[in-house]
Amino acid sequence: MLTTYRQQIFISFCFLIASSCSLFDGKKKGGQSNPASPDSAEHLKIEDYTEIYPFDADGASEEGNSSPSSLTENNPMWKRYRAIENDLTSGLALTKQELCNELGTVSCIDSVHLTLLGGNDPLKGSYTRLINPAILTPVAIDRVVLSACARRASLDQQSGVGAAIVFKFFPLNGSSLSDDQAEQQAVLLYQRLLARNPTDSEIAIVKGEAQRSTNNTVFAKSLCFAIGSSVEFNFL
Amino acid sequence: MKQSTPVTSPIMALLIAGAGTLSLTTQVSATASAPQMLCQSYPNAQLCIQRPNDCSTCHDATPPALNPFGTDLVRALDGADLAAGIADALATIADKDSDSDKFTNADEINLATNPGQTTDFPKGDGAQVEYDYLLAFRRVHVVYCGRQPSFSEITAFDSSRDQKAQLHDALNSCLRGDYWKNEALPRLADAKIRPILAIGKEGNVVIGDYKWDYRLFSHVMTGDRDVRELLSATYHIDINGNKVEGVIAREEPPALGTRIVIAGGQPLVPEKRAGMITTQWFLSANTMFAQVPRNTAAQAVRAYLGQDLALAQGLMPIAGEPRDVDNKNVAAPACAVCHSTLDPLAYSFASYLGIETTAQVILRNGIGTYDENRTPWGADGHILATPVVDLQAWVKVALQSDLFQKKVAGDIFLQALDRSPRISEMKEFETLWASMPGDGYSVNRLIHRFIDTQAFGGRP
Repeated sequence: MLTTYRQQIFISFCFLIASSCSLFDGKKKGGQSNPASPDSAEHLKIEDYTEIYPFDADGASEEGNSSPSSLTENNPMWKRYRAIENDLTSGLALTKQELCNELGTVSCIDSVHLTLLGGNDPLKGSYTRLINPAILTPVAIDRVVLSACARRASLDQQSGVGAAIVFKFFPLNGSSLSDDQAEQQAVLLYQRLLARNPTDSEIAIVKGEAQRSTNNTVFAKSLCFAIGSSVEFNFL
Repeated sequence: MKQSTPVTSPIMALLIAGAGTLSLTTQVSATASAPQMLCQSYPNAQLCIQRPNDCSTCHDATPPALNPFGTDLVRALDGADLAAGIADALATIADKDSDSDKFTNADEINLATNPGQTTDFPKGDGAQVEYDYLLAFRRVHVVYCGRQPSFSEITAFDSSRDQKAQLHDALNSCLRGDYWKNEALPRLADAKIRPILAIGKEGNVVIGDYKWDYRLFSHVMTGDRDVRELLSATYHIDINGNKVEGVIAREEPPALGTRIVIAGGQPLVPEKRAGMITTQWFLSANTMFAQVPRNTAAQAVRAYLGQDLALAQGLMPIAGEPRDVDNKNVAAPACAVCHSTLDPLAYSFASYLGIETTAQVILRNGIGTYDENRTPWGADGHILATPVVDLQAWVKVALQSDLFQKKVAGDIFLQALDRSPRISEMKEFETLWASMPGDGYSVNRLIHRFIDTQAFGGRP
């Protein structure tokens, strides 16, 4: 639990300082990781967290990031709740109702975490929104993104490789995948969630993680979560 | 360096001396006019251009308490009359760093930061930025469409020969969309309308229906309409988006049972309407039971001119005010600092009924209607130091002011970027709001200009 708390603090810093903390930006993160908190799991099992850890633990060294949407460090724009919701639904081919719901009924985005995700509900006496993300905003983002990734993986697993929509390049119930499969999956997720292609170094990191993975479903969820919870996805 | 020795302001000095009422009023007015006096010494300073009536330059949040700069200024006055001595006093402390933030008072005034607040000082934001069309394209989609562009849209944009034209096409599409009109704009209106569920149309005590307000706001802010109609519209917008002229009947009959319904529709006659600030909701929720609708006036000025009197912004005292017409003791010195501006602002709203619970008012849906005999001071109003005979004249002065244009442009800026313009962006911001008359006061055209700014599309 201590590790999880420390990891959450790291994520918080990523968002608060609004610098590029993308898990795949190739910069060293000081050995910290980026899992979700246990209470953010709606569709994940506990082992998912330990599987997610290696993704961020030892990112390869790289100077700079030439991605077309690298963060405007002196002038960042927070994407906020509705764009996050719309980008997750379109990126992962989910309906609004298939995104995170508290107890299966109350929307995490429109209600439970609305304030933390940058919205306000005037009928609850909140007439203005947060100017900057709060300390718990990354936790809310993690929950929503992780839930969405898990839901997509679950739906694609039910559909099978032939009919899957997002995770369609390898069998999700398998225990290994090839470099090509990992790359194809990374390209599709980058395009669907970040609207760009991954850089060579980002693909190299994904391939490295794919080689270490022993659970294709966990790999798929982790890759999706890492991209969806990145600063690049949440800020412009 | 912060001062530890208590120093009294001119107001407090007079209090201590036990001066008479007439002297007090004179001194209060002089102090409330201090920002203008300061700006006579710094006519080109950004502080005077951006927030010319801000008392916080010298005072803490609650005047007459002084901040370190105000304290130094009073010391430099050395007992001299404020109006006569302020120029010399300012010159004396120009090179001093009153708030110990490593910037001189003169530098801070010139760069529009507060010389009396340690945490407010010029930031190094003058970094060179280069306009990035792709960044602007992404931002246009997120801010005005509520989504990022897809990979295929980005690819098409990347290969476009005229990215500027495509950027503005994308904006046009977004500004016609459901997200901008029905979600982003209503959120921009929240702090202006300030709905309360329990006393709105779906509440248990209905004093008005704020949905009329939201619809009118979104209507005026879209479709190349004249944004001045926020304060001048004599029509409303029904649930189907159609313009409705004339008095609008209540939707449900009065009720005084478990659920209390004493209002509905828009009962005010069109010739007495002033857009968003005379809807039934605005008048009932802000005026409530007051004879002098101070909350109403303060909210109107806060929401549409960007001046928060509660923060001592926009003070322009009127000689002889406050008269304390409703015996609320507002002529007390500490109150008069603001009420010498606020009360004259409020008189023009006094002929509009707030919540009145007589059977006659309830039965005829009278909340928010006009009655020139409601009070004797309805024609005594002032706004921006200009006398006005009624609310229509009040609105005319407001709409002719730079403040209205700055507020509209500032709202658009803040809504997109979550911050005010930086010093390095002030020139393009001034160009932005000053362009509104030439653009027919269209918010759409304002936004088209805005997305071309370095503030919106600049990448360091």
